[in-house]
Amino acid sequence: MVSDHDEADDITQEVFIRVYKSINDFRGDSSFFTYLYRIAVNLSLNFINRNKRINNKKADFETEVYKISTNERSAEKVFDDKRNEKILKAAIEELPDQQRAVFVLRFYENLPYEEISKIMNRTTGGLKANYFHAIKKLQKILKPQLKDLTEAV
Amino acid sequence: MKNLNKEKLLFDLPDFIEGKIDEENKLAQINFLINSDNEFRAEYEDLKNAITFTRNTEYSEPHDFYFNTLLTNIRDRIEQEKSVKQTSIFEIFKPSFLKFALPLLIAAIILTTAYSLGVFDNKITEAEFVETSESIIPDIAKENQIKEEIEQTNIEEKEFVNEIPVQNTVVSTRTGTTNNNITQSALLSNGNSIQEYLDEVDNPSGLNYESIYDNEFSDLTSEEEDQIIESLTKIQL
Repeated sequence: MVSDHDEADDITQEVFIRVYKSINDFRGDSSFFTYLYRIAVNLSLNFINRNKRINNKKADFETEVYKISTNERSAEKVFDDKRNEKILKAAIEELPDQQRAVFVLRFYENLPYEEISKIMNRTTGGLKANYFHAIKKLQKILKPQLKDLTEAV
Repeated sequence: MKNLNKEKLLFDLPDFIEGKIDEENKLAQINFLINSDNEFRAEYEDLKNAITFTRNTEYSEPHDFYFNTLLTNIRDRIEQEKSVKQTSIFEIFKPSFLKFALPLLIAAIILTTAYSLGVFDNKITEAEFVETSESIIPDIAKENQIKEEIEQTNIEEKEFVNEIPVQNTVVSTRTGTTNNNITQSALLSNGNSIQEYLDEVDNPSGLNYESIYDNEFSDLTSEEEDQIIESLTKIQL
């Protein structure tokens, strides 16, 4: 959910410290896995919200830079993996918080909607809609890159 | 296939593209819409491109040893927070201990010692008890004497009543009963209305209460009156 390893490291530490502190509050209503994920998602969203302005500026900057650079490289029709990663990260950072969380949990963590529903306290239908709109938005953001990719193929 | 929920199936498209849908019925419905609905197919193509791009993009992993220190860091932070907590509690109580807790402790020791020595016990001697009791409880003998004096000074009701002629009415103020010389028949025969009669009974005309009380004490000397008043005051009547 966060694009930087250092940020991820900090959040992971914070997650385990929170779990350590509040382990007595864990009632066992859900699985420990869900409980852990819930804390992780909440802390990540808090972190994202806290750094939203900075991240948005950063994302805008990076998107702009790589838009230009990919346009330049579109003639060659080759994408560097490193650049694609940065473009994709910037695009994911532009997603709204909830969509971002659902996208990460479903796309990368491959969690079933039922589990995500428990983690995020949302309905399965709402999550499916969020997931769809997240990919749709990514598709719009990545359109220039996707066009080049299609042409290259 | 005509009554398909297109929007609902649209939301299932990402999972369809990723091969995460097992329901054959749903798969058939989506396939049908892709083949028959141009708008739906366009959505499918767009999503497929985005998902393919995202799947094919590899994230650079951190170094293998990057998270090796994670557990150590977490332990360190927990220990650090523990020590901060302990220190902070001690720091809070340290100045207040010298200012407040210590004097309170000394006071508590003094009070405990005093209590154990019986300083606070209420040990009243027998003489003190009698003296106190006498001051509090009224002397029964004296009270009886006062009562007798009152009885002696009392004028019998009948005599009292006879001695107080008040126009047409004689009232016994002690019993509270009204002995009207004016009878009901007399009142009615005089042509008065019933209401007037009732008013007359409730509030007899011509009564002079002050004169009644004056007459009651008229036979007493001033000394006797004072004595009676004093006695009444003592027994709180």
